[in-house]
Amino acid sequence: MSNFPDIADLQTLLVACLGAVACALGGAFLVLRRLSLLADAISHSILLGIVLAWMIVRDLGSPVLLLGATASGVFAVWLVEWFQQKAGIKEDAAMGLVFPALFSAAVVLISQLAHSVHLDTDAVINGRLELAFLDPLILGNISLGPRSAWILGGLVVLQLILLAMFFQPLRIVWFDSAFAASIGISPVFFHWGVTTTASLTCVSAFDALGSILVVALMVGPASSALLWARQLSGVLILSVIFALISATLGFVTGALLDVSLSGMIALNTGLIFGLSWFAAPEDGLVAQWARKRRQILEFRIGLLLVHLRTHEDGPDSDEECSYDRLTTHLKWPESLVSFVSGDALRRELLTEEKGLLRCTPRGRDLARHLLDE
Amino acid sequence: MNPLIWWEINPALATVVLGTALLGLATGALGSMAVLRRNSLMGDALSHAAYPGLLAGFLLNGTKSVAMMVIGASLFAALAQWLTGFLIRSTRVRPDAALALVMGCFFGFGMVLQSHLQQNPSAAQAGLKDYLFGQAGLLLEEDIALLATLAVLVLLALFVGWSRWKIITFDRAHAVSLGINVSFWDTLYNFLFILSVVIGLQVAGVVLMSALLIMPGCAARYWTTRMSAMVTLAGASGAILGVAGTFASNELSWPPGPTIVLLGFSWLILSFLVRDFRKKRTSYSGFSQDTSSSLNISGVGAK
Repeated sequence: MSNFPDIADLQTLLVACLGAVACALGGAFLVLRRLSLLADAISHSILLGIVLAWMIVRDLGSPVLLLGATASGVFAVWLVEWFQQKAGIKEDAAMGLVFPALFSAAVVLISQLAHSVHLDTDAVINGRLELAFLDPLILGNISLGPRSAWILGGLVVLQLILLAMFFQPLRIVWFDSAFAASIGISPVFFHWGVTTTASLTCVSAFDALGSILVVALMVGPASSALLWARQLSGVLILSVIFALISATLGFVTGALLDVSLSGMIALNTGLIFGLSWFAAPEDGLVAQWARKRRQILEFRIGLLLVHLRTHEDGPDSDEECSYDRLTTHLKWPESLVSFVSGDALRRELLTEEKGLLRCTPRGRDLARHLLDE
Repeated sequence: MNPLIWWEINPALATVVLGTALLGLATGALGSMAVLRRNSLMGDALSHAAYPGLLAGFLLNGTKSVAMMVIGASLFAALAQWLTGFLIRSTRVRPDAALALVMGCFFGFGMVLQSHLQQNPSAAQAGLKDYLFGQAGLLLEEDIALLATLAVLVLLALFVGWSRWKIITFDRAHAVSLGINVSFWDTLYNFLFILSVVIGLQVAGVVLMSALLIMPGCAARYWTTRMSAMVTLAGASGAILGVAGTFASNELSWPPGPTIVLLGFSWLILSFLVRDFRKKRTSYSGFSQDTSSSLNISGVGAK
């Protein structure tokens, strides 16, 4: 471990980070459109395109393979839509039908070509991030670093350019496609644009990351970001940050424990989501709990004020409004009475005189409001 | 030909045929309920989530004991299902994202365990990878007992709980108002669903398990609008697809899981074409074609 972060490690980390950013950007749009599972469908379907393209060009290094893979990803999305619209199958079932069918076709084809092609179906699922640095891009005689880093980096740049060009119309289409159509922005164009980009992302990333990690990276950071941010730009920026953290943490822990890096990165997207779920404002479990506590306190203060208001002018006000006797009348334990009345006193809804509680004008208004008088 | 004679001629193939038929029967019948509940992708998520449990069961025990692995996988699948439900109930995360997220993270854990196992290779762990893509060809006679138990359990539960499940599937609120113990029947359904996913993993593998669950149901939906007929047809066609797929894979020497899935997909397309043809014929003798499609005679696809 003396030379832990050597050049190969840094290259692997670079590939992981670029892949994470590429997936997170494309994935955010899928998650927002409730199409998260398309990531799953696409990443399983591209194998068929690769096999078919290979049967034509017979070269595993050919860029035609990437083209075929992207095309089959888009084809899978089209098929899902066809099943929904023309064949009357619900969205969830349509996805569940399409990708196993395409994946099966690919596996059968590979099994028939086994003697002539070294396509490892296992690697499609698991990826080989660990080996990415062994496949450098060589220009002339100079090795320019891992080929996947260049592909994924190019993809990130492409996505950023597309985002910069289309951010405004994309935002309108994504949140109100009917309005977008009415002002002349084509939802269909953007729908297919985003799906094609997602397919391209799956294709570029699955070789290094594996199809399951692609799904985790597309959905995890975006879902976490949605718990924190309310604006599209915020969601995108946070997704990228979360993806980078997942990739780095996953790489470091995976390398230290000497286990699958892809698996560790996927686990870390889950970890970040878990933390967000716990701590996010408004939607987080802590925030939900605090909100509930606050609502209970508000309700109890209201109850106390209504009680005092009902009795403060009556003949038995000495008895009913006495601080010491509230435990009996409200059937609250001592500690609760002191906590609730203490909070109400602090907020000047109550005043205390010689052990008697009285509503302040503000407290009386509140009680009247609650009683709907 | 007398099947018993044939069993003696090729017992290995006969075992596989019987196994896939039993699995097809159970998953087809149970899965068609998932289709009706619009919960089709649960099978996919659960099969991915069960994978680390399978490996954990193996890790704890050190041998490929079926019982331990089934228990481990069931626990993980149940945890994943509970987590998905909790996520959807307590946050703004949509069901699709929740499923994908849970699936990805659980399977990521499975990859970590798998790579850990590969560092100390032993003879016992050989074949663990078969659970990724399934190896129906490796079914043994003791697996048949397991699959037969599953099929009997599913059929029994369907028989006993039929009227309740039917009401719950189509109108949950109505079921509650009738005083049906919805959570009990839901739990039973989830339990059987998880059990069939976990047991089916060995045959179909992680990726193709979901197809086995929903393809027969989707195809059956084209032939009938009655739930009883749909579930019966789905179970029967699931069993037939299992048998036919096994024979086809044996003849063509294709991998069995994908062969069954491709056959199922062909059956689905065929069912759709027949439905389409019949629908068009109805529409020529009376309605115009447009009316028939907007009336949505078959009732499917209403959005």
